[in-house]
Amino acid sequence: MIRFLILRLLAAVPTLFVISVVVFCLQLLLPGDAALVIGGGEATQETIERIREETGYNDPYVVQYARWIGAALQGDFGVSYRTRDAIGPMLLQKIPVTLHLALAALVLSLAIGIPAGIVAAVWRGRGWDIAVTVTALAGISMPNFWLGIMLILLFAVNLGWLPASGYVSPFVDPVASLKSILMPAIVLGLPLAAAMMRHTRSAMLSVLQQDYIRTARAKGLIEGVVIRKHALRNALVPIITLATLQFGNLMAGAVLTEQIFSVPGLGKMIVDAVFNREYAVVQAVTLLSGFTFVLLSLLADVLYYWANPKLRSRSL
Amino acid sequence: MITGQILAGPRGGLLNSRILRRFLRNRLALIGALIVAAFALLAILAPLIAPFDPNQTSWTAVRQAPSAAHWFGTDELGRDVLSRVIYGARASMLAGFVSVAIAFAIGVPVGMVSGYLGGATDAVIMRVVDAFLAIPFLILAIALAAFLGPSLMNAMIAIGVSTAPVFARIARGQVLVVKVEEYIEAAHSIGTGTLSILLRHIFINITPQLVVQATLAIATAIIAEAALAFLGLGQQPPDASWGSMLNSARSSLSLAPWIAIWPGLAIFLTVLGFNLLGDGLQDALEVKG
Repeated sequence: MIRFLILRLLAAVPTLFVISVVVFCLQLLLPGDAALVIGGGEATQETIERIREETGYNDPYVVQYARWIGAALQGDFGVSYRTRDAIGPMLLQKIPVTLHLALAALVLSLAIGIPAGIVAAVWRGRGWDIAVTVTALAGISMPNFWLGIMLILLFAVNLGWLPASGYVSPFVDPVASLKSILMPAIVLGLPLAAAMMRHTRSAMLSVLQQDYIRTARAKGLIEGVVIRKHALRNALVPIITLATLQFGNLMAGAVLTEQIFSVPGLGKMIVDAVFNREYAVVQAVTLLSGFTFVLLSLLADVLYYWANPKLRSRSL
Repeated sequence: MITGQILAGPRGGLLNSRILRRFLRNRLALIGALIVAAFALLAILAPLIAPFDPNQTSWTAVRQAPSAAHWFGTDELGRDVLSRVIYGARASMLAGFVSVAIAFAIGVPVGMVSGYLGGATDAVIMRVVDAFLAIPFLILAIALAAFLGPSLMNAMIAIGVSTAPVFARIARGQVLVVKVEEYIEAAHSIGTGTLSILLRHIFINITPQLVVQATLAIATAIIAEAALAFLGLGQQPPDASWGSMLNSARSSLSLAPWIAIWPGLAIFLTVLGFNLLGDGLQDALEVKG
């Protein structure tokens, strides 16, 4: 197990390195450089030159990269050129908000996706299966920012049950917090629920074809027990692994969801940064999301390994 | 192999093969194909179909509810929503096809070469692909679009580049399967060059997988373009795009909800169409998901 962990960690290092290079290189796409942006339209050549000198834009790219990633690994992403606030602490403030939203959405998607997927697999080809499959496809095709707008229209504008925007921390006011997170969590969670349905359905279908299921049925077990104890338990492993890997979709969905509901998380931060031309913030959030994904897929591997006796017993 | 027949027109290709029969039996896939065809027609024939000029503002007709003259109502500048939805199909269709074409053009050659050569080349290329795949798709697209500057073209480049790793992965995986086949060895032994083997023997055989993936990728690209436009990073005003229409509709949601309904429904239907079509092709071509 430890050997497996170390091997996987070592394999992740090059990926993390390339991610950081890709994110660093984004700034090469800028017409001109960031000094022009910081200086603004009216800056003199002298000012621009001074900014370049101060921020180190005159150094070779390799030096700039080393300085940037060195600082970033210690949580220092530089300062916002508008407010002069450090970006690192700003990120720390936003992370719990996005995490709260993502967890709420994940719980919702598992609660809907897994039962629906099981129903579809057990009654394969019948009405329920078709209904679930079509709904899942619709869920995947639904642009979540539109779903958000429609929910606001219904629950905030017409019915007035839920606030249209804003975020309340659960530690401040749990009830208001639940109200504020409900719509964003539905918007973020439904497409995920659709994906979970599809995963669960196919995982269950492949487990249901296994010999041990036939054996369990031949023993005369009731169908409910076969499904719950034998099929679902074995299907859960790939489902949970996939849930971990859905992080990317959650993060991407959070960008739009937070924008629609004015939730002050990482997603809103990156969009605001784009419009304030805070390129260092855009890079920081992009780097953070890439690194988190690599670490989560590592976690998924470990879970898969741990839950699968066949892999565990085989020496690596 | 069935797969080889798809591109072979004269020898009974797609049109009279059992692939087509299988596809036609699949009702959902047919519905998908019809939806896609309808929106494609809408995009191509927009100037003929749209009842009004989509950019024509009118201060006397601001936020009018749907009526006989304006079926979908008018927006906050008095523009006809129906005409804007019809013209919006152009931006979405263009974005779907162009960004997937970009992704295909970058990803497939890279993946094929990586898989065929193997060894260190493959290891290095795959690390880069992994890195691109690790950054959430939309975040990468937003970051790229932000640095490139907001426009429809840059949005398509950003989406294309963000999608390319998916094609590289699939092309590589398929090449690994196909390259050990006997006919490749045979081609090699009669002195066929690497490039020729890649193009004439391997590419032809991995086409079905790529076609399925491309269809599904168009669906994703259309949502992504709408998302970027919604955030202000896609098609720029005044030109119509479903995403930017939704964004401007937000400000008058309580006054004029109809502005928000139609563009969203259009995105939903188009994307659903491509997803149904992709799923149908996947079954008909017997491609594993």
